[in-house]
Amino acid sequence: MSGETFLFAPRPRSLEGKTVMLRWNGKHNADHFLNRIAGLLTGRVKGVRIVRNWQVALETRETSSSPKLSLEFAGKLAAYRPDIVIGAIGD
Amino acid sequence: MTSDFARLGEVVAAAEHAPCVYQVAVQHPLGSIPLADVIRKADEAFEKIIDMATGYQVSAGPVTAQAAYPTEQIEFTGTTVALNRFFLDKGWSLGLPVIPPSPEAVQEVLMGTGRKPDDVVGQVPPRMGTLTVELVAVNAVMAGCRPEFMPVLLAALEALLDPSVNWRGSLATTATSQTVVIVNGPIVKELGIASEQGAAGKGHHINGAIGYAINLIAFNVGGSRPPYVDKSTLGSPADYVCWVFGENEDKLPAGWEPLHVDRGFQKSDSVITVLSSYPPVANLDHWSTAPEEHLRWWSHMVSPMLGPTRGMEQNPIVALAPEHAELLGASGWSKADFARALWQNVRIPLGTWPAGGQERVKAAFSSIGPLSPESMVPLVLKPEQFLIVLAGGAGKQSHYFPPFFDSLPASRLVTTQAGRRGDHS
Repeated sequence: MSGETFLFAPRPRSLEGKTVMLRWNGKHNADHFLNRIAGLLTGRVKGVRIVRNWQVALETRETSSSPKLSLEFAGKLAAYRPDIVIGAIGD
Repeated sequence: MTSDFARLGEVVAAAEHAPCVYQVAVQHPLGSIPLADVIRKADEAFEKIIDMATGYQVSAGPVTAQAAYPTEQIEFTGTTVALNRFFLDKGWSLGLPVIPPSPEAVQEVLMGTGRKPDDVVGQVPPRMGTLTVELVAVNAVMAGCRPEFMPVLLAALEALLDPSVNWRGSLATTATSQTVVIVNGPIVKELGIASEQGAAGKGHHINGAIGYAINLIAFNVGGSRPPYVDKSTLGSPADYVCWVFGENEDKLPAGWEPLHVDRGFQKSDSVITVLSSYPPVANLDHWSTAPEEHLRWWSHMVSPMLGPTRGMEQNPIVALAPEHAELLGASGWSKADFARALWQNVRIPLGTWPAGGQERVKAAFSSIGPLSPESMVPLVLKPEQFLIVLAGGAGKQSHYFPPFFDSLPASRLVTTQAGRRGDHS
């Protein structure tokens, strides 16, 4: 079976000074969950920068099970060069 | 990820060759609960999220998958009843009886295709199991397929594996989603695929066997198993045998082309068209004597299944009963006239769309004029998006199949002896 090989990005040792993308898929309450996480992060982690997908790339705030769309959304969010993405997918 | 979906997350992550432990499970549910509970769950999950964000280290080394060909053979001694119990215990059965897939039976079914048994048809979601032609034959035998069913089954599977169909979503969702397979062209009569009275119902061997084989493959190769991967809240009998029917092309009104011609094939082609859909809603108009009256029934009875605004770009199936089609055709309506009338008359208030998507809907239908939440807007962007197909026999029962989210139709030529000419998505 053929396939491409890719490497996973290593986790940062700390989130200090890092950019954290919060990805909401539009499902109920997941935005409130992520906003709470954002609040806890900024209260505890020095210099952390929070980016919310629904504020910078509204088209990615969509519920989808399509692999094709997942890749498309990932590409759009990667353009914001987050160090880490935290997603909440509700339900 | 909520706890009830954690296992599904692991399966999909493994299928994508991603580390399986990159998620934090929050007690289900998260949706439709008070804000205070959402905050509490976020607080409880926060430390784990920090750990996962900073402490988790990707393990090195590739994952070695079991070879898909040849299929493992096992020895079994016992009755067919005992074998069925064995398969059920092993998790190789949907719970309905299966025919033992002996090497001889599999070889016989393989005679129905010119493809080699080790040919890879594709990766079946959600766990992206490798599907070989041999594995198709194994599950086909279990479902009761004859060799001559293989070309139709293979074409249906290739269409389902087109990413645009979003079979992965349909096989894992909480929704009562189902696979719909429509057959067109000479193969319908050549194989006796049911296309008239009760075409999608019981008593039709080939329709049922193909529908059963497709779902066995989704289960055995794709891993779509309840309750951890197939998350259907309720499920349906279509999870056992999916919808398979031929278009009743003989009953098309004069000038109406069959579905596969609408989709760019020649009338002489044999074609499979597939879509993931929600269960159908029935239009049981027994009273109209003019098309304009009949349209009102569609307006009242269509269920929009609203969700992401991408739904505007999808393709609902409009399965017309021949008698309803006759009413339209006898009044001089073409298929395009009917599609346009559906688009014009089957409308919903803009405000029905989820609040977050209404701006996009408004922009899409700006040509209608200034729109408010009370404005009536079409379900889809263009009339041509409706997949109009003649389905069934006598009786005034048409059906509307809302498409499952992000599922678009895919069509494949049925290859028997000649090579295929081109496929359409």
